[in-house]
Amino acid sequence: MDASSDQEIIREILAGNADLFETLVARHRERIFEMLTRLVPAESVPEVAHETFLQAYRSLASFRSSAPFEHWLVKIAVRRAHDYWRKIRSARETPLSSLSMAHREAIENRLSDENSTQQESNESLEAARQRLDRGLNQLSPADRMVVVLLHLEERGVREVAELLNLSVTNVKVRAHRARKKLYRIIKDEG
Amino acid sequence: MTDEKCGKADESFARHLRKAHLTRPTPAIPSQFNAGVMRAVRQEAEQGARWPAWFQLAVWRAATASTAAAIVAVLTFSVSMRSVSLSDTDEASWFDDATSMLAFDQEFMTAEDIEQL
Repeated sequence: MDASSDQEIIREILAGNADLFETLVARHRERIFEMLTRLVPAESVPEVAHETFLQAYRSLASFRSSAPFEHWLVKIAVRRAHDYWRKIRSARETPLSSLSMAHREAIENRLSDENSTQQESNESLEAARQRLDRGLNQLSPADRMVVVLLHLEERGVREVAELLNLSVTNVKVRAHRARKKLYRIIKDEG
Repeated sequence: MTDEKCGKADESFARHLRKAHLTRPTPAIPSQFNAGVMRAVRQEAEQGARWPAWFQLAVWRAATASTAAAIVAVLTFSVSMRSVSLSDTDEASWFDDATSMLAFDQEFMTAEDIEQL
């Protein structure tokens, strides 16, 4: 079936042919994996992607054909990623402060004899990713999602508001506070 | 360092972080991914006699069609509901499931959308 027939497939699934859902999974899984890679740790991407598709199946009756199915699926993926961080935060046993102290020491040792700005420009992307992730880990789940979607992925404020089910004003306020907080955390670490 | 230089360094640092974020390597899709999702979907489908196919179709049509078509879909649903309540011995729990499904879908549908239904 071609890309334009997602709706036809959905109609068939809702009429009782659940097996056809696999066509939608096969068609959209790469996009969802790619999207989730930037929202949750790599090792958790398959699990959150699984939950995304299952949620999509459960809520299929509420899908509106006015927007592409993939947009709707991405929205579910973003919300599942948000839920993921909420679960992680509530289950976290190691105090963040002790983690950040250990990381801080390691980074301080590594950077001790060189100018930090010079280091930042030379730092490998992997090291930058790790540093970014440690900073993001200290934000609330909602603030984290706002910063990632708005500042790192450069999505529009309206789109982020819609994805996270927040008001535009709420997104702007959260973004402002969270960005400042993240900046402080990362700078302090370096 | 002057303020201007600090600002430029920050900007370049932010760009570096953004690049690091956007170039995260995507993990390989597990070979059993589709099978795992479909196993869960089939389980749902088996339990899912909770929400008959005609009901799901009515909701979907109402959500995707024009206002006039939505009214027709809702009327169809109302008539079907009546026939279900006359014939279904377990109508109370069935209705609970149907309403909880609507409440659950509020995550994706606004209050106005639900009212329109």
